Order: sequence, then C-alpha cells, then structure tokens
Amino acid sequence: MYLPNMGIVFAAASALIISAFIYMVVLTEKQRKAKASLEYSLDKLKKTYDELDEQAKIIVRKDLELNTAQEELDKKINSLYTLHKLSKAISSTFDSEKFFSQIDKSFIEELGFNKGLVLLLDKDTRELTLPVLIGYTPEEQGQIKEYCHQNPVLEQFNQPILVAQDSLLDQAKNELLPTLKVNSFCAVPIISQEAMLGLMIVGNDLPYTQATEGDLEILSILAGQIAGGLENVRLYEQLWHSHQDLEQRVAERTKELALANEKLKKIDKLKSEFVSAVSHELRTPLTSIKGYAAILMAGKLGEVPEAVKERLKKINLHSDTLTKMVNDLLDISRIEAGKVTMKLQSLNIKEAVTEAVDLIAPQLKEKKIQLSIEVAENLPSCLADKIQLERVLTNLLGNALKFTGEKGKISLKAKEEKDALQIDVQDSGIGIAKEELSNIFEEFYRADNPINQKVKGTGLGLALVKRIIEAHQGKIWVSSEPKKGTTFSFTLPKA
Amino acid sequence: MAIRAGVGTSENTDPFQAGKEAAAKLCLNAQEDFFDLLLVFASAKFDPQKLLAGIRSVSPDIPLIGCSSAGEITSRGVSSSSLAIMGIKSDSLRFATGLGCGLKADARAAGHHCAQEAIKTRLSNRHVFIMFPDGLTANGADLIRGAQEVLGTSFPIVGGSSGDDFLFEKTYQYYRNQAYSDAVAGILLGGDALLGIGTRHGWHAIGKEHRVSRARGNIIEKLDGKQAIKLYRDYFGEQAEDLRKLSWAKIGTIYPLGMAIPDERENLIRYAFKATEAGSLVCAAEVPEGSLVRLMIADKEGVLTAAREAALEAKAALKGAKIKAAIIFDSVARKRILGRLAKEEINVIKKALGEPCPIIGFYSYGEQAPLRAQRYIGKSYFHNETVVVLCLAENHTRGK
Repeated sequence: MYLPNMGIVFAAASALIISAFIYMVVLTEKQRKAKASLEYSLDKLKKTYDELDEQAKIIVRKDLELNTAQEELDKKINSLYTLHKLSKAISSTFDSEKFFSQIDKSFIEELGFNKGLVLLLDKDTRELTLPVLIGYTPEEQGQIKEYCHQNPVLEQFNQPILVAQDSLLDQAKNELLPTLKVNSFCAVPIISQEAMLGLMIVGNDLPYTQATEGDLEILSILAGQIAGGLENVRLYEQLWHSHQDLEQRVAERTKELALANEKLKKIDKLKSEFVSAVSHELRTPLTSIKGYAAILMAGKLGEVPEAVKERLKKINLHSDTLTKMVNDLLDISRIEAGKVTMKLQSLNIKEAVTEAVDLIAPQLKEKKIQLSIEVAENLPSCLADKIQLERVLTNLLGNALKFTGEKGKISLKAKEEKDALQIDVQDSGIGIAKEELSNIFEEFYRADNPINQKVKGTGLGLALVKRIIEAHQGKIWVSSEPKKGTTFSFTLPKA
Repeated sequence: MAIRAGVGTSENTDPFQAGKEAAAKLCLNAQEDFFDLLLVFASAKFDPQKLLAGIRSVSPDIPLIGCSSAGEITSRGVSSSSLAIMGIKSDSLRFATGLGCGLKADARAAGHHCAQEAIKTRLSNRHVFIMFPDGLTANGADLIRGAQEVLGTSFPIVGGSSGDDFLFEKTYQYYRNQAYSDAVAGILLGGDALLGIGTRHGWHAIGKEHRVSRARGNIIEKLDGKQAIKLYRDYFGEQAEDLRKLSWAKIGTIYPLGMAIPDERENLIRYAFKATEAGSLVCAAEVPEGSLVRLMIADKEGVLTAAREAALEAKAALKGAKIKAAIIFDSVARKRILGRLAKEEINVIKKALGEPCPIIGFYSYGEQAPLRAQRYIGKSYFHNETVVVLCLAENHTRGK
C-alpha cells in the first residue's frame, strides 16, 4: 500500500528535483546572460565616460587657446584705443611736455604693462632726458636715470626688440631687466627722418603677462606717432622762433623808421624855419629895391631916359614876382609850422566862387573860355577862412585858365557830401601825365609841359593850396587825363 | 542707528603719500573726520609700513584692518598698484578685532587665536566675522576650522586672502598700525545692523572625477595614484609643458579643481597657485585625501551671471533696507578670466545692488563664505574663484 504511494512520492520528488534542476539550469543561464549584458553595458558606459573625458580634454585645450587668444586680442584692442587717444593728444598739441604727460600710469596699463619710460636725446646738446618714467618709486627713478646716463642704452636698442628673462640676447640687453625691475620688456626706438630721437620702453614685472610680438607691433606704431609728434613740435617751434624773429625785426625796423621819421620831421621843421627866415630877410631888401625903382621912375632924382624907364619897369615887375614868390613861400612855411591860424567863419560857397570868378573874368574873355558854375541851391555854408579860400579858388582857376587852350571849357561845381562840401574845378586843358600826378602838390614842382616852359611860375601855387585845405581839415586830390583835362577836387567842412 | 561709509583712493607711487592722499580723500568724500573702522586694501608693491604711516598721519587711532591685494575695487571700477580705504562710522555697529600669527606652522591655531582675541570684546548681537589671512602660506580650510572652534561651526565667516598682484611671493595683512605676513587679521561685526552675504563662482565641472590619492594639508601630491601635476599635463597637453613656469598661474587659476558638496548647487573650488618640483600642486586650502575632484571650466558670461546672483543674494537678505556699504571679496582668477571685462563685473554687481552705495573690495587669493548664506545657518567654507558680496544696512525694524 505504501509502495505505490512511495512510488508516487518518489516520482513526484524526482519530478520536483528534475524540474528544480531544469529551472536552476535555466536560471543560471539567464543570470549569466544578464550579467554579460550588464558587463557589456558597463563597459560601454566606461568607454563613453572615457570618450567624454577625452572630449573634455579637447574642450579645455580649445578653451585655453581661446582664452590666450582673447587675452592677446583684449590687449590689442586696449592698445589700439590707447594709441588712438595718444594720437589725438599728439596731433592736438605742439607742446612736447603736454603730450608726454598723456603717457601716464593708466596709459601704460591700458597697453598691458605696468612700467614705462621714454628716453629723449637732444639733437643739439646730445643731452639725454627721461620725460616719462612710470611705475617706479622716486628712488628707483633715480637709479634708472643714472643707468641710462652711464650706459649706451640708445645705441643698444636701435631696433624694436622684445627682451624677456629667457630670451637669448647679449648680456647688455638682458642687464636692463633687473635695472628696470621687469620680467620682460619691449624697446622701440623713436626715429624721425633717419635720426634716432629717443627710445620707448614698456615692461611688466608680473610673471603671467609677458610682452609679446603683438605688443612690439603696437609699440612701433606708437613710437612712430611720437616721432611724428616730436617732429611737429620741432617744426612748430622752428616756425614760432622764426615768427618771433620776424616780429622782432619788424619791431626794430619800425623803431628805426620812427626815428628816421622823427629826424625828417625835425629837418622839415628846420627847413620851414629856414625858408621862413630867409623869405623874411629877402622881403626887406626887395621892398627897398622896389622903393628905389619907384623913386627913379617917378623922376624925382632927375629925368629918366625912356630906355632906362623901361628897364626900371622890368625891375619893378620882376621884384613883384619875387615878392609874390617870397610871400607864397613864407605862407607855406608858416601854415606848415602852424603859425597861421585860419580865421574860420561860415561862408556861402556861391558868393566866394562868384568873387573869385570875377577876378579872372578878363582873361576868360580874352581866351574865349566858357566857364560854367554849378552850385546847388540851398547848399549849406562851409567853414573856412575867407581870404585863404579865395586864394585857393584863384589859384585853381588860374591854373585851369593857364592850361586850357582857347575856346576851352572850365567848370566849377560845388556839392554836398556826407560830412563835407566838395568843390570840383574841371578844365578841358592839356592834362597832366600819370607819373606826374603824385608830385604836383610838392613845392617847386612844375609839370613838364610846353606851357610851363613858356609861362613862368613859382611852382608854389598847388603846394600852398594843399597846405591851406589841410589846415581846414579838408582833403585835396586830382584826376587827369592828358589832352582831355584835369579836375581838382577839394573838401571843406560844413559850417 | 545710522551707518555712514565712504571711500578714498590713491594711485601715488610713494607709499606714505599714497596713504596720506587716500585717507584725506576718504575724509573729503565722506564729509567725516573720524571713523569707527578703516578697511584698507592696497597693492603689495607699497612698503606696507610706510603706507600705514601715511594713513595714520591723517587718521590716527582708528581701528584699522585690511590686507595687500591683487587689484583694488571701488564703485569706480578696478585698479591696480593703488590703495583703497573705506571708512565706516556708526552709532549702532560694533567692531572687535583680532590677530593670529604663524599660519604656515599651524593655521588652525592662528585662526583660533584670531577669533579668540576678537571675541574677548563683548559684542551684543554678533553678525559676522571677516578674515584677511595670508593667501600664500595658509591652509585656508584649517584656518576656518580654528576660528569655528571659537565662534561655532555655523557662525558666518567671510573674507578674502591677501594677494600680491599675481606675483605669489609675499603678501601682507594690516592690523592696527602694523603690517604682518603669514598672519590673519580678523574683525567681528556686532551691534544693530542688517547684513547680507552672497557667494557664487560660476565655474562648471568638466571631464572625469579624479581621486586625491595622497595629500598633505593644502598640497595635493597624487591624483589617481599619479603625480598630481600629471592631471594638468593630461588635459592640456603641450600647452601645459611649462606648468612650473610663467603660464602656471594662468592655467591653475582659470582651470581649478572642484569638489562636489551634497545639496550645494556649485562645487567647492580649490585652485593650485604653484606646482612643486616634485609635481605636487600647492592649493590655497586643503583637499582631503580620498576626495573626488574634477577639472573646472568657466566662461565670461557665466562668471558675470554668478556675480549678479551673488549681489542679488546679498541684497535679498536685507529685506529692502537701504544698502549703506558693500564689501566685495573677488577672486584673482575672475579678474584673470574676465580680462577687459573685469570692470564689467563690478558694474554688474552695482546694477544688481540697485541704489548707489560706497563700495570697496579687492582681488584675493581665496575667499571665505558660508555655503548657504541667506539662511544664516550654513557652515562657512574656504573658496576659490569666488566672489563674495557683503552688504551693510541699518536695522529699522527693531523696537517697532
């Protein structure tokens, strides 16, 4: 009874064991597979991770490159800004001190450095100056100045150069590093027209900022700007000096001229005084000559033969001419010396003109000259000395008459100008040559023409007229065309 | 409850004259003769002792603290080889200063001592501890731990490590009338005021993680079992050939190493400012053995965005109060990567802060800031490549 049961149990147990075994076999297989796939994934993940890390390397390398490039770019941009600023400053000033004062601490820093200096060599005195010394204590400044004065720095750096601690240059160049207290520096000569004017050096004592080739380029441009600026300053100073020189010379000449003028005035005065004195002395004997001639002619000392009388008449006539001449001369010199005061009064021009015309009426008739008088109605009165004005008019009318041929025309016009009265005496006479116009108001000047050669004159008439008009604060001038006629114009103040 | 601040600067090359000039300008700009605190940041080129003497010739006896830098920041932008001073006058803010020396020997002890000295002055309502450690000798992380032993682990610590215009030779810490090296100068701010702190860098991780297989303090000796410097050689190839020479400062600062921190948006950055002959990397703070680091990369836009976010974060903490002064601790690496746009970063910060206010700051070799500043519960860490913006405002909510 048990056995079959046992059999069933056994079978069941066997089946259970077998199925468990099969299950286990299947399970291990699954696990194995899962593990393998897990391992595979892990491996893949690890690979991806490594790959990502490799990519990270590329990224950081690129980033570093980018940062370095950016830094260089930043520096360049800064430098360009700075350059632009300095260029503006340089071109707007002619004072070298002023534009060197633009190269200050912030300027050097914007260029990407913290120390800077400029050495300048005076062309003439060969003296070395350091107008720019930035980033140093007063003590260090003293040391650098001393070094520059004792060493041929300018000769050493006649080419743009980059000096750093590890650069393989000659000892002398590297020696400047500790002197300037920098780790690296750029030195660029300031050259204008082949001549070395100086040297610009900028440097850094910071370990992370080394001067680069890019800096050297920018600095070379800067040095060029400075050279240009210095050249401008030099030219400007030269110009300024020559201008000063010129001004001084002009001043000297003016002074000389003033002195000469003073001298001339003195001489002129002496001349006037001399003429005045001489004329005065001449008048007395002339009066005697005329007097005696008159006595002789009157026959008070006995009968005078006709021939003698004729000669005496000539003595009288020439004495009169001489007296007139002496009188005119005397008048000129007295007016010139201010010894004659014009007795100014309000005068009607028309009346004065009529009176003067009356005096020459006979001659006009004789030469059949047509005289027209145009004096505007209600012309204001003038302020003048009656006798002197008559003298002016008779002189001018006399001249017109003298140089106008028969049947000629003379016109006399008076009109009102802005603040004076103007009188024109116009004739249709022979006229005056252009080159003589400027001389005719001078004493003893007589225009070169046939009439003057025939008719005697003193050459004092126009000179006197000019003096009289000027004594009235008036002006006199002449316009003329040969063979057509002459116009004398003068002005007189209004009453 | 008033806070008044002003800034004075000088670019004079003579240290004494520069100090005198900047201090005089500060008085003129702020229309004040006396301040409660002077913050001084200057180029390491200046003889620090003469510089301080110059400042003291105008403003004697005022608590003075600061350090040498790799560039000075004011609201006018960025300058170098210069001096910037901020004067703060307040009837509500309180200051307590401290100094710790011998950073190289024991940064933790120096940090501890510095904070201990500051905390001696009993200040109510402590807000923040500002530190200026030597940026070349300290393990910045150890230093912070030292200060935290005194101040508590979640007390906010901000600040920047002193710099020397990228020379990586010698930096100074200014404390009262003395200049120190290998020291940390600290100042505790207390009293009634509102403070906002913002911290960001904007760098992103790239490439594989690498395990720090051997490190001693702030020196990483081996990465993935190989010479540490090999990592850079591996990534930069030929360009990195001269790693021990001039270009190192550039690669090391622009492409630092980053460590992930749980729950924090940005990685904690460590940059190596020097590579030793043996091929080890000298960092500004420790990178513990076993930590995983990745190479970090940044672009200008990301860096500027980070600056804006840091400023906004600082401003947000003030809850609308008017900013009376802003202090910026900005990494040299940022100045380096931004180049011409360095000034733009300051503009971005100014714009984010909104209304104009006196600003002072400097480019540092390392920054300290809490990780989640706006909540005031975060632990402070030592950072690199980071900009930290600290804003001060008057508190008008109290007593109402």
